[in-house]
Amino acid sequence: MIADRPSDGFEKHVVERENRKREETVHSLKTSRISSRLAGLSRFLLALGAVILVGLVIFASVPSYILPKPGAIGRALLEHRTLLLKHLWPTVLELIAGFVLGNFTAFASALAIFYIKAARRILLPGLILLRSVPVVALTPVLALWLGTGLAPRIAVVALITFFPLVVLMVRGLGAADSGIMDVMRVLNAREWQILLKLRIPASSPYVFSGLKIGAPAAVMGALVAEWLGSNEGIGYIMATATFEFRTELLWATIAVGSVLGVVAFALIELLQHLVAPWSRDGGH
Amino acid sequence: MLEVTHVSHEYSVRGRTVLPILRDLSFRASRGEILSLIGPSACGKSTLLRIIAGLVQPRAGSVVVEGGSIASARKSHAISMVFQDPALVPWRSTLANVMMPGEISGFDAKTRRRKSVELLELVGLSGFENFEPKQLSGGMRQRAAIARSLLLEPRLLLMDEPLGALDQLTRERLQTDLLTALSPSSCTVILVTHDISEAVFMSDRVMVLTPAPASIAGMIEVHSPRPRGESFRTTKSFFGLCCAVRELLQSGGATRDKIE
Repeated sequence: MIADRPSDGFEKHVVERENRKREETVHSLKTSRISSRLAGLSRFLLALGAVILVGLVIFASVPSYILPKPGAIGRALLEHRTLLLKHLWPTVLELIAGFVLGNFTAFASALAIFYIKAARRILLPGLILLRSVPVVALTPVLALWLGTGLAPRIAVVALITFFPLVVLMVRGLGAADSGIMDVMRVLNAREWQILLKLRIPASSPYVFSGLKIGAPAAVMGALVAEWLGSNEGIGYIMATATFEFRTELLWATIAVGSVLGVVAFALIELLQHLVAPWSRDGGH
Repeated sequence: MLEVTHVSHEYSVRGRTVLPILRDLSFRASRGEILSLIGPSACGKSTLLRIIAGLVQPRAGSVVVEGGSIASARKSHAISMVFQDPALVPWRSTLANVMMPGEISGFDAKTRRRKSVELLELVGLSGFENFEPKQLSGGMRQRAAIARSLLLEPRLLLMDEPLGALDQLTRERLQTDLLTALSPSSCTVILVTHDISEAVFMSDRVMVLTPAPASIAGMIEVHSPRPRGESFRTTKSFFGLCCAVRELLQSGGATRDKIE
């Protein structure tokens, strides 16, 4: 009996591994079936909700200052299209500039935090502190510092997109497969080669998660910044429409803001599809 | 080619030895030899292989590769490694995965591609160049990993249970194919395995280790010219050698039980 030990242990090991594999497959099959059902159900509920809401607005007499009819919002969009388009431009500009600036800084900071111990000690707590300050409270201060032009609004967008990317990218840089790392080390790969060929591509699922959190948040940041201190942009129109009780125009700006958020998200998805198709959710 | 002298190692936490794993191991491997390391689970064979690869620093003893240090052998890309997990990069095609070591060593793109295509053919993966790793079966992935490890024509190939995750039939076919793939080269191979018949079938010598802390329980020579065909598996000498390895493994296990 004693003598059989080594091979016994090995067989047990293999059997356990196989069982685990089987369980995993069964589990993933089950969850995928459940999740596809859930997705179908949620789509159905969403459609049902929309139909009920629209029906309520059209047939029940909900006052238009509470919720205008879809047609009225459409008419407002058409009627104010020159105004909306004119103010869409600064918002889009802030979004692009802020998003690029914020993410570029985040990329550099993540590298510094990952590779330099001192940066990890100083930068990371500083960032968390900065993040704890509400952006809404920061906006007027930024306007005092940077003037009333595009700059403070770009800064707000950059600040909002910066944080999730830093946190996720630091994690992503450390998430590279240790087996591939060993293979590269034995081949005498330099750290920059490991960074370019392994760490950065391996971090892309994390990076894209960061960008996907950042993109819609950036739209919100831009609108809030315009609302608080600006005389242009969709957020500014939102503020004036609210103060002047022009509900249809307010809803038109909400529609434009939502479309901006969806477009921003979709652009990130498209980028991920082009750059790292293997990294999308579910791995396919 | 490879000289391991009085190597000892232990795992320690905050300077306190927790688990001695290697005890005063000394052995050599000559040029072109295939040496198997076999031993019970967790006896430290993988650690020994990682020490030879320079991924782990031993507590005591030295490892000499081609008369020099591990670092200098690594610099000249003399060492290559294969693990149980194929460790292919998911964002590269099979061909691009095989080509990666060439990018690190600075091969030009043409040589890289030509050699990788040849190697994929050698391991039986022709036609799968543009497949993604996840589209390949486990055995095919391991074939790709083996092709990748051969790209820089290593003089010392370290294999840590390379076929351990595969089923019996795939494993046996890969053993034969691996021997064929290695036969034109004069590459020294250190093969860590759990599988007695794999050790005997693949190697020129089988080194049997005792349970941790590992020392050498015995060394068994396999006198049969390589490459070996499937027929070798059914010969009397094959059975005899397998039994000899098994006995050594069992006696090693018994000593440890007495100590405990």
